Amino acid sequence: MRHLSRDQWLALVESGEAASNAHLRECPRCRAEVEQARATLGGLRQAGVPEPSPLFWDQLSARITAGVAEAADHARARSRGRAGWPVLAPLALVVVALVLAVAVNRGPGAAGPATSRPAAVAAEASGAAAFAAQAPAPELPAATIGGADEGTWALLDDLAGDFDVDTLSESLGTSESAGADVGVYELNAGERARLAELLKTETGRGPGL
Amino acid sequence: MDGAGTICIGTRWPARPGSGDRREEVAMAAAPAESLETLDDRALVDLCLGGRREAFDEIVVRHRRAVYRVCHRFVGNHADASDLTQDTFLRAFRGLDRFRGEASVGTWLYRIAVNLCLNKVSAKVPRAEPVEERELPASGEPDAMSRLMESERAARVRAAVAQLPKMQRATLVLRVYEELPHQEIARVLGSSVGAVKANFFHALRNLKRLLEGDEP
Ligand SMILES: [Zn+2]
Repeated sequence: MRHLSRDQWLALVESGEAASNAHLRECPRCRAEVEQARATLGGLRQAGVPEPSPLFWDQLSARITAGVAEAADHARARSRGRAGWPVLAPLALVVVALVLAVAVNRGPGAAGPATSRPAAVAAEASGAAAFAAQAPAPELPAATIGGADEGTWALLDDLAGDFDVDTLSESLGTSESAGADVGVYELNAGERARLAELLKTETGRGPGL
Repeated sequence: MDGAGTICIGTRWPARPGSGDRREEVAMAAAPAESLETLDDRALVDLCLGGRREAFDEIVVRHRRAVYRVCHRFVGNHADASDLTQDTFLRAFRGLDRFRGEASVGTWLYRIAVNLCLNKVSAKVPRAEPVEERELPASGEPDAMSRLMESERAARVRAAVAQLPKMQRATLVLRVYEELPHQEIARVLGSSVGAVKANFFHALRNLKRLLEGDEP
């Protein structure tokens, strides 16, 4: 005799149509199994989940609402950070390149006039990052750049410390970096002040820096 | 859990709650609060994605019981079920932008809840239900004895369910208590209809054995 397949067995247990099944009428073994499974299923259905205290649901909702508010704040902060990065990243690279170039320019043997800086930067670009890794923190280049721009340079210099040199040298490569450096050197005092303002806003740094 | 979800307003799904198009947000924010109850789940999700966080509160109110029940069936005690229910909704909120509306909100919440439960519990070491959580009748209540026996029997069944292997347990809970079709269970568990039937079959057999071995 061919007994019930698993699917037939399940269908009979769940449907309650066992009485009308021809095989079950003839097969005591399958009949007993189906009846036992139906009894188990009945016991399962009767076993309810204990009802929590009536206050529980409101407390649960309040906890979820608080968690949702926190998650939304985090998401907003993250998206704000992400929105700022595309603007900040190129500026940051430019700033770091600039500060490194200034450091190069002020290092031993750098004696040319201010107007020769773009050429010096182009010449030193390939070694700038490696140099920065060995050199002491660059000082303020106030003597060569001029008193009016001092605050701006101080800020740019300070910000340069926030960026990883290895990442920077990878990002800048060797020859392409010169263009960016030269571009910044060619900013006039007003443009540099504007750049500093932008950086202050993006990094949340106060005017005291 | 209701199966609402036939109307879909808006075809765009912004990347994250609160990050949608500004005009869309303003238009959605104009929907009065009292109308939230009349909206279907999909519309609430859209509102939520448009920055109306209270729409999510309404989703919670609609589904919290069902999610809690599934979690309790799974872990067998109130404290864990409560934590898992909270985690389910928080995870759902954080992943709201990934809800594409192919399944109902209910099925989607089940899926999150069951996954959390599967991660949480160990099939080998089920946590016993504390006696104080059982629904005990007051001693003076008529028919108190039969209700006590019923409560004891229910606790025994829940304890036996908690001893089933995880996938069998999940299948059994969704099939017997939430009455989901096999296809839907397969979707929730990320398995096949054949696997769901096999797990349900073995769950019933194992449960019979566990309950027989537990007879006082
Ligand atoms: Zn048979």
